[in-house]
Amino acid sequence: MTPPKRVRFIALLSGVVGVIVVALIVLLATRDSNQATTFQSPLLGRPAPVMAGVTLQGPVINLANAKGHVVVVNFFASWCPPCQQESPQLSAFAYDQTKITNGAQMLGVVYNDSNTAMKAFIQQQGIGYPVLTDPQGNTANRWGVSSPPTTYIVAASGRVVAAYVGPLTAKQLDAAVKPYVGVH
Amino acid sequence: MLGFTEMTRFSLWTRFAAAALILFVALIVGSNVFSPHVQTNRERAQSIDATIKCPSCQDLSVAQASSPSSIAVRAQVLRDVNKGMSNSEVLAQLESQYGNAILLTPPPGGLSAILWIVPVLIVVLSAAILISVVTKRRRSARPRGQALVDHE
Repeated sequence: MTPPKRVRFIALLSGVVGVIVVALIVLLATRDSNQATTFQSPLLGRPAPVMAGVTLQGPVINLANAKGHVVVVNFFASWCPPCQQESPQLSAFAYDQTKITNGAQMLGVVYNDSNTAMKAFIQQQGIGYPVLTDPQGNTANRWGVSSPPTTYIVAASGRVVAAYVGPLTAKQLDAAVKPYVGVH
Repeated sequence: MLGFTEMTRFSLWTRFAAAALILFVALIVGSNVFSPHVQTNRERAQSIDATIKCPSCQDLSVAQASSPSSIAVRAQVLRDVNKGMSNSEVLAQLESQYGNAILLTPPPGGLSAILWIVPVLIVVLSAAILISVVTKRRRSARPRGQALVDHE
C-alpha cells in the first residue's frame, strides 16, 4: 500500500470505528430502561410449569384449571419500584379484560416478599386479581424467575407464549394477548 | 568379599531405600487411595450448588447466597441428587428453567463470546496498525540519514 493509500485506509478505519462508538452511545443513552422487554425464556413454547397454592385473598388456585383461558402471570414484589410503577397498569388491563368475552385472566405471584408487606401493597394499590403466595420460592424457581417484575403469557392451550422482564403497560399487554384471546 | 567402604556404601543405600519406602507407604496411606471417601448426596449437592449462580444476586453461587431463590434452587438440587440424577442432569434441569445464565461459568458462545473476542481483536488490530506505521516511518527516515553520512 502506498503512503497516501495507507493514510486513507487508516482514516477510513478510524471513521468506521468512531461511527460505531457514537451509534452505541446514542443507542444506550436514548434507550428507555424503564420499559419491559421480552426475553428468551426456556419456557417459551413449552407447557406452563406447575402453579398452584393459596392466594393472599384466600382461595386456592391452580393454573391447570385455567386451561382454555389466556392467563397473564406476573411475579412481583412490594419493594420493587418497577412493580409499583406497573401495578396500576396491570389493574387497568385486568379490568379491561373482564369486559371481553373469554378475556385474559391476570394472576400475580409474590416474589421474595413477605405476605404482610404484600397484603398492604395489594390494599394500597387496589389490586383486584388473585395473588398467589410463594413462601419457599418454589414457584418462581420452577418458572426460572430471577428478578421482579417478570411476566409470562400462558395461551389457552396451556403453553407459555411470551415472557417479559420490566414494567409493562396496559397497552403493551393488550397487544401481547390479542393474538391469543378468543383462540382455542 | 565386600570391603569396608563398599559395606558402608551398601548400608547407606539400604538406609536411603528404606527411608524412601517408608515415606512412599506413608504418602499412600495418607492419601486414602485404598479407602476413597465416598461422597454423600448432600456433599454432591453442595459441590453442584457451588457452580450455580444465585438467580436474584450478583456474582454469588447458590451455595454462598441466602436469598429465597437460592434456597429454592438448593432444595431442588438436593431433591434431584436424591432422585439419583447425575450432575449434568441436575444442571440441565436448571438450564431448562433459567437458561444457561444460571451457570456461574456459562459455556462460551453467542453474545458472551463476542464480548470476549471484540476487545482482543481491537487490541491486535491497533497493535498491527501501530507497528506498520512505525516500521514505515523508520524505513522512510533511513535514506535521509544515510545521505547525511555521505555528505560528511
